[in-house]
Order: sequence, then structure tokens, then C-alpha cells
Amino acid sequence: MQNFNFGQFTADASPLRHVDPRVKILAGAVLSILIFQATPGEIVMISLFMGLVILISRVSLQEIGRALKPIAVFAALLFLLHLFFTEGRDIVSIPLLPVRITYEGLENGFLVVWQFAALVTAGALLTMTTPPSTLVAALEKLLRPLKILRVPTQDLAVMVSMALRFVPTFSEEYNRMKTARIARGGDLKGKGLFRKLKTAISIVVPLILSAFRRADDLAAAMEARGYARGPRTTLKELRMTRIDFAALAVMVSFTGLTVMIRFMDF
Amino acid sequence: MITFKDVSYQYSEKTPPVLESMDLQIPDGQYVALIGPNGCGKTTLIKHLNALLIPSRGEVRINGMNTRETSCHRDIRCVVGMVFQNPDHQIVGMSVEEDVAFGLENLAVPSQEISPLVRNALYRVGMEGFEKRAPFSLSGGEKRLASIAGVLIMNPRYLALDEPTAYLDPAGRRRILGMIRQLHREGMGIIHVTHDIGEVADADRIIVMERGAIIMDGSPAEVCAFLISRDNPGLEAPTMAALMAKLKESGWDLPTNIISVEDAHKEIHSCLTRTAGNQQMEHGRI
Ligand SMILES: Nc1ncnc2c1ncn2[C@@H]1O[C@H](COP(=O)(O)OP(=O)(O)OP(=O)(O)O)[C@@H](O)[C@H]1O
Ligand SMILES: [Mg+2]
Repeated sequence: MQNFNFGQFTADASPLRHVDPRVKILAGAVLSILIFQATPGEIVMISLFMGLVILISRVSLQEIGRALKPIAVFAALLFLLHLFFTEGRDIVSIPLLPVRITYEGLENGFLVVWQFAALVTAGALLTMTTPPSTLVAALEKLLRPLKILRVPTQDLAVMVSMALRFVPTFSEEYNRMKTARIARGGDLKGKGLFRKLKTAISIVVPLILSAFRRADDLAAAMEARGYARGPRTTLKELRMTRIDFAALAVMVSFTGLTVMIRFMDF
Repeated sequence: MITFKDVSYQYSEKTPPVLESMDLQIPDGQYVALIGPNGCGKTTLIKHLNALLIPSRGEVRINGMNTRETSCHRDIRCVVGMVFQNPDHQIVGMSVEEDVAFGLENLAVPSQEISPLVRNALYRVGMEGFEKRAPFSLSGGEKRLASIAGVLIMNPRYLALDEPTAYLDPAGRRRILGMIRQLHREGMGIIHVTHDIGEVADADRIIVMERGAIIMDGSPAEVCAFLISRDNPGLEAPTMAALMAKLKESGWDLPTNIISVEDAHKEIHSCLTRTAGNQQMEHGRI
């Protein structure tokens, strides 16, 4: 756990690692919109494009698979829902029972699940190839226009990155408290939902209390190092380079292409 | 120059004051140790040094700046760096370099100037090569060093350290103490809070606190003699001084204001040689 990174940042060697995170976030957002309202034809095109990106990023399919695993059950439900509840031409229908499967349902189910998987894959690609601190910095930059509305974007960025910094600390603390409970004869493998809930609460409550105590100290430490409202800089400034403009160009032309095809269809 | 003038501090109206009518002056570049039993107000005192706490009565001035004036706080925090008791509660960055850079980011130093300063600060504490490490993957001693680097980067004139050697093994302790001495040699003022008077034997001055007041302020030797005379369980005299006092009781001609093993060794050795010489002389006469 020497180099534990919060989140899923694993692809340290990926060429996408060096693309400006702002470009990646924007690309992800645009891609999401395209995916979200894609026709079956378009989704094939988008998938091919994403396949290419995955190839370039050198993220293994195994890793993508790992990212997709948690949504498998939900995706299956989504599929069945569309399969059974879409009006259209019957494939199978059982008389008397309200069960019918339609061509449209099958198509819809496939499309929706595919869209869902593509969205998750796009998100996974972003987080796998971007260190969390860089991601936070990029979000701060992208949200900067909100400053006009007096949203304290820089403070928000500090907040988020501190939250990320403390995730491992808290998981450590959680494990310590769990061990302490076991050491005192506590039973963690209790059967029954109620027992499980009780055990969880008995660990989580002290964890939250200790977090509050820590927050006090932390605030003092930040203040002592000159943290205050007002302008601040960051160690790593984001700067657009050639590779970023290239990535941006690719993204713009792909989007243009997709939109064009959409209009030609009409 | 740090000046406390008649400083009292209460955490709330209902509780008794934690500091009471305290007067104190610390000149530039002095190495001051602060000792006292648990809860006597050491942490409370040093939090006044960089305006984290503002006195309820009296005033604290740092290089002439009154800590009561909010507009001075940034400057005050650049003059006095503060290393807290628990480094886990001090490290804010997601990596060592980001954490060390935090102070300069707050001062809005341009990015390209920060990187070399981060490297230099890590070099000063002997932590080169740790830039990319996640804070929680560091050992206790390394965390402490990283948190000191994060303070040094702001180039303070004084460094206040709250029990910097707590939870460290002897090697880690020696490393921190060596670094504190090195910084002192380079001209940095040090305020070092500790429970072990043995580790501040070479401070310029030791201040002893009890229940919110300074009860002794003097050189290590003077403080040592004072502690032996008082015999308070919360404020133990250094082991070496206690040993010397016991030996003196049994009739050896030894000074008792000794803190370090080296000094004790020197004194005992010279005492033994003297006695041996005397015995030889007596022997020769017979
Ligand atoms: N935030 C706080 N609110 C109320 N009382 C406090 C607070 N912090 C400290 N105190 C009280 O002030 C007194 C002095 O505390 P302080 O932390 O300064 O002692 P200390 O000398 O640093 O002790 P230690 O050696 O244990 O670190 C204690 O009685 C403590 O209970
Ligand atoms: Mg303390």
C-alpha cells in the first residue's frame, strides 16, 4: 500500500495521463451527452471511438471490466425492465399472463444497457488516468466562472482535496476501531440485519466523533500555515500543451461528425 | 522579539484561566525550552505565538506586531512557524510535496517558484525523494519531518514545536533533535515544548510552567537545581541530575545540575580520577 491512491487512478503509465485534466473532463462531459441521446447507429460509432481511446490509453480491458462489474446487476435489471415493458411487435407473448417480449423491448434494452456501460467506461477512463489532486485542480479551474456568483471555488477545491487526503486515514481508523472491538470480544459477524446495523453504528459513531475533533486541530494547523480567504496559487498549475490541443481537436471533430450524421439522418 | 505582556487566557467564561498574568520575552535566535506537567498550558501558550489564540487580557507582540490585529496575522504566521503535537492533524496535502507547498500556496507564490522551494525544504529535513509519497504511507518520524518541512518553507524566524519527539523511537528522536539544533545554529529562534528535560540540555534557556504560570526561567543548570530542590512528581528532574544528587548524598563530591549523559560522564570520571589520585598519594606516603 506504499503508493495508495484514492479512487481508481491506476494507469500511471498511460499516455492519457499527460492530457490536461480539463480537456479530459470536458471530453467526458461531451461524450456523456452524445452517449445519452445516441441512436443505435450512433452508439456503434461512439463505441468504436471509445475502443480506440482505450487502445491508446493502454488501460487493460480487465481494468475496464473491473469498473463495470459493480453495475452489472443494475444493468441486468434495466435490461429486463425495458425488455418486458416496451410496447411493440411481439416476439413472445403468453396469453392470459401479462408477460410479453417485443422487438422494440429487446432493442431498447440493449441500447440502454450499452449506453449505461459506455457512460461508466468513460468515467472510469477519466479517473484511471488522472491523479485525484489533478482532477480537483481541473474542477476548480473549470468552475472558476462561478466566482462571479461568489462561489468560493478555491476554498471548495481545498475542501475536496482535503477530504480525499483523509479517506485513507479514516479507513485506517475504521480498521483500528474494528480490531479494537474484536479485541474486546465484540462480535462483528452477527447474523441478521439488525445486529449488523448495530455493529456498524457502534464503529461509525466514534469514527465521526474523532473526525470532528480532528477537524478542529486541522483548522488550526491550516490557519497557522497562513490559510485564509483570499487569492492563493497551487503547486501544479495546469498548462495546455500540444497534446492537449490535439486531444481537443479530436474530440471536437468527433462531436461534429456525430452531429452531422444525426442531421443527415433527418 | 516575542513579547508577552501580562497575558491571561481563558478558553471560555466559565472555566478558570489557563494562562495567568504571564510576562515573557524571547529574543531573536534564542533556543527556549518549555516544560511543565500535563495540562499546565504549554500548548495554549505556544498557540499564542502565531495568533491562533488571542489573549483574553494583556497582549502578545511578535516583532512588534500585536496578535490582536487581524491584518497582521499573515505576517505573524510567516514569522513564527508552528509544528503541532500530532502530525496526522497537520498534514493537509494529498502528497508530501503538495503538503509542503501548502503554506506558499496560501501566500499566492507563483507556481513555478514553489517547486524548487519544496525540494529545498525537503532537503533541509533530509526527506529528498519523498515528494510523491502519500502522507499516510509515511512512518511517524517521516510524518513529523514532513510537517516541519511544511513550516520551514515559509522561512520563519522562530519555530515553535509542540512535543516534537513524542511517539518517536530513539533514532527518530535523535534525528529531530539534531535538526532542531542545526536550525538553531543557522539563527532560527526555537520554542521547544517537551516533557523530557534531558533532550533540551543545550537549550539557551528553559522555562518551567505550572498551572498556567511560569515558575522558573533560567539556564538548564539553574532549572536542574530548581527541579531537584522541588521534587514534584509531574516535573521530574533529569535522570542524570537525580543520579548525581544521589551520589552526592552518599558523599561524593559532585555537582547536581547535570542533564546530559556526556556531562555526567565527565564529572564522574574526573571525580573518580581525583579520588584515585588522592588514594595513590596517600599510599605513596605510607
Ligand atoms: N479547546 C479547549 N477548550 C477548553 N479547554 C481547553 C482547550 N484546550 C485545552 N484546554 C484546557 O486548558 C488546559 C491547558 O491545556 P494545554 O493543552 O495547554 O496543556 P499542555 O500543557 O499542553 O498539556 P500536555 O502536556 O498534556 O500537552 C487544560 O486544563 C485543558 O483541559
Ligand atoms: Mg500540549
